Amino acid sequence: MWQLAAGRIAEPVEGRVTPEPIVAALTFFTPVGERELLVHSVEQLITRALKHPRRIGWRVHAVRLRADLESPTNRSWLANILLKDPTADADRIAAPLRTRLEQSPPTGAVERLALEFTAFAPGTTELQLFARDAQAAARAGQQRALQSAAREIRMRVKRSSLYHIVEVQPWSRLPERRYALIDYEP
Amino acid sequence: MVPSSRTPLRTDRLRAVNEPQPVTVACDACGAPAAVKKQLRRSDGQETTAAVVETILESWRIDDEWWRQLISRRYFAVILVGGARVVLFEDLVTSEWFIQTP
Repeated sequence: MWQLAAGRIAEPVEGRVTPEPIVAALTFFTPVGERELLVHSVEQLITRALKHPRRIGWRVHAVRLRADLESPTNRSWLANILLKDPTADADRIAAPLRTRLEQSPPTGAVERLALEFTAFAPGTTELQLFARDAQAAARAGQQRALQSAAREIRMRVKRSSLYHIVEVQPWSRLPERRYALIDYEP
Repeated sequence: MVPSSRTPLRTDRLRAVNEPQPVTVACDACGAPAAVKKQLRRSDGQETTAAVVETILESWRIDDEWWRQLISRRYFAVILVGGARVVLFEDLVTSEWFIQTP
């Protein structure tokens, strides 16, 4: 923090960003009333939602399950679960939903099920490592894309038209001395 | 700005950015810029563009580097008719006018 305040570090400060809610939904061909089938579908939705790239590095803290009931009634069933211990384990997320489905099941056949992870907690050290790996992989992919784009531009216009903006004398009172361009070679 | 590619910085390959471009400026009775005329270099020849100054946002003066080659400039941040925001300055040593991006 001191280095940042003293101007020795110029990298922008990036706050921790909590992922947007993750939704996985399923529409049944024919409305489903069997509890076992509903439980199985919920488990599938949890697995699908856990695989979402936005979830990497985060544990799930709150889950919402919504069931839209058969058309003529236009009713819905809702379960909001706050996990005491945030987790990325499908079984531990499914457990309280299973209990809710057993104790107070939907009052009609279900046409559509939507599962939403609404709140997250930072992952364990291991999960954070995976997240860093994922971010590194994303950066590597971005770098490859940049290299390929730069190569194509060089081939088309026969010279590099990509530049970095570098600070030269950012404190200067003369605007033209503050920054300069330098060839960008990704 | 794009992230650094970690390529060593070669200062011989630096290109200036936001270099002042010479312009012709018509001033009002108070000496403030009222209109700007600029020569644009195009592939099919030169073209002149002119614009009237709509508002002067700010003005300031810089006197610097008197110990080697004096820099003395009078700056005006202006909005041109049409909405473009530019910075004009008069080099008080040579009495030439220049335009820059803010």
